[in-house]
Amino acid sequence: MTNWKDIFKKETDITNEELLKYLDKDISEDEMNAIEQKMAISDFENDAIEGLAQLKSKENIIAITNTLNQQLKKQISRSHKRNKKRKIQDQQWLIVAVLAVLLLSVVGYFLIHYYR
Amino acid sequence: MIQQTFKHITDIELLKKFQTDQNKEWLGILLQRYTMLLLGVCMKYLKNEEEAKDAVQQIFLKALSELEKYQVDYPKSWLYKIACNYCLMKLRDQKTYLSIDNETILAETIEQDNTSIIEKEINLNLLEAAIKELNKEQKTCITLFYLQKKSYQQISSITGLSLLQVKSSIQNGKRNLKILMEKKQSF
Repeated sequence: MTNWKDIFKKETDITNEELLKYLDKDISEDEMNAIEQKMAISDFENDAIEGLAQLKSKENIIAITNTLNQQLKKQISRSHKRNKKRKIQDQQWLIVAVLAVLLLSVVGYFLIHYYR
Repeated sequence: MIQQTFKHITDIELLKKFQTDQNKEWLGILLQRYTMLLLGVCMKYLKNEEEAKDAVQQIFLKALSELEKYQVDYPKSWLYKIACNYCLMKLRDQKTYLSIDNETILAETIEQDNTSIIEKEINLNLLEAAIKELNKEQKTCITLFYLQKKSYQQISSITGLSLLQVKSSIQNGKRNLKILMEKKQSF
């Protein structure tokens, strides 16, 4: 009867390795049932497995996933560089402004002393 | 490799780290956990490898910009919703109609986020009584799947139902069980 509790088990993640093994049918019936029970809890995993099954091979899935991850990393590092550049540009304006104020102060000081 | 290093950090913790230092690398780690799943979802709806790859990239862009602006409590469900909505919009643009009930997808996702009373405390007697009230197909599939630990394929061979019918009998059976148990608990 304890197995009935599995019906309302809370969602647990399926790892990428499990996904690939399931698609390859490279697992025992028990393992298959365990993964399918996780799929029955999560629509995300359920839909994903249906979709991944349409791709040519396990190697193809891994290759596409790696490429997408690389592109994501590039995207993030590009935005990181952009932010850094923007910060430096903001800082440059700040330095120019501070120098201008200092220069005006010095000029003002000499002008006041000169006219006295 | 990076994923292994940060395996012990939950999605929520990664989001908190991002909120603290605004470093998008944290979001990158989070999103990479779901790349394969997102690819699968996009493939399911778009049925085209190139379109699915483009879709995942667009979903990443959307996620990166939205996670900067809004607080997300359930990143996994949220990403799934974004993926479904993106694919459905894309299909709508292509004027392709789906046979699935889109509202059900979202309703089910939200349902997963809420821990119901049933999940907290399962009364086995009530559950047994509720199972008896299911229709024959659902009762058989649920019993074979949860009690006898049979796979979808095995259940399909035993019952003569298609894989899709097996899956939906289990899903609908579960939903009906919840309703029945909630009714019984309220008495």
